[in-house]
Amino acid sequence: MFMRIRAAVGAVVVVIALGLVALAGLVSHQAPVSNPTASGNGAVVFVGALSGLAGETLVFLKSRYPGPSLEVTEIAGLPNAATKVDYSSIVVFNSDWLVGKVGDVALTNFFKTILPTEVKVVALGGHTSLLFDAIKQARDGIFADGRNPAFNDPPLAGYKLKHVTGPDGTPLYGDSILIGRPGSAPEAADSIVNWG
Amino acid sequence: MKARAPRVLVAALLLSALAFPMTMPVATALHIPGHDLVWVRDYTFAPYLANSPYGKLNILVTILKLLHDTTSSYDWYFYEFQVQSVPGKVAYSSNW
Repeated sequence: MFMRIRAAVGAVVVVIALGLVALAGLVSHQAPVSNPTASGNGAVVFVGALSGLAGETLVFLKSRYPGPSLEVTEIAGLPNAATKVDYSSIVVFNSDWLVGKVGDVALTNFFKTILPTEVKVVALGGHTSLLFDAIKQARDGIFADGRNPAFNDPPLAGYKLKHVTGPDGTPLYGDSILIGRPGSAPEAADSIVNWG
Repeated sequence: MKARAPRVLVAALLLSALAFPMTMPVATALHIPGHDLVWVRDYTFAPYLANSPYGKLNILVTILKLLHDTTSSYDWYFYEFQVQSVPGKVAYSSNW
């Protein structure tokens, strides 16, 4: 009788112990919770006038990216803005600001500096296709002539250069592209935060 | 009577063995033995359609390139489409 009880207790202990090991394994395989500011600065860089859909969306983005906020209205302010950006930041263009500036050396250099950080770059309202035209100057080959992903100027367009590791360990880069037709500024902010 | 203890232990080990596979990482999707797929681009259409109070539609397109495809004539890409419909109840707290 005593042996039977001892065996049963032993079995229960084994099941509990192995169950705990299995549970620990499950927990260790959970995907980390997405938090753009987990270890980065979570800065928000806004380029252009604080008006229209871009200006309205900025209000909601600031609550999701609690890092420092920088507003740029002149192209001369871009080099300084580039120093504030890391992978956890967000760069927001009012598309109207991009009109007439595609191909400008300072703008192209701005993209060449910030894109390798894998920062999200978005344009809102108006001619959002200009964002891809401008980025193409810094990253040729992103799309063929006449194949702008935002060719019909959706209210929201975004680009993020993403780094992956090839099967032989070589670093590779690809493009993550966001196209959105949000009905409101909060919806635009949700799309940007949830993307990528 | 003594033979029961090992049987109980075997049962316990079998139960534990059933639990262990759950801890294994999920196999990589679209893996083809002898070949490698590498991510090259994704398109996120979010929202692709938004119509309050009824709901919205999101589309995610992931493009993977096949490496070592044994042909110099073509490049092979895999397009994976994910479509997400969000009811108005979730998207807009409406009764749709």
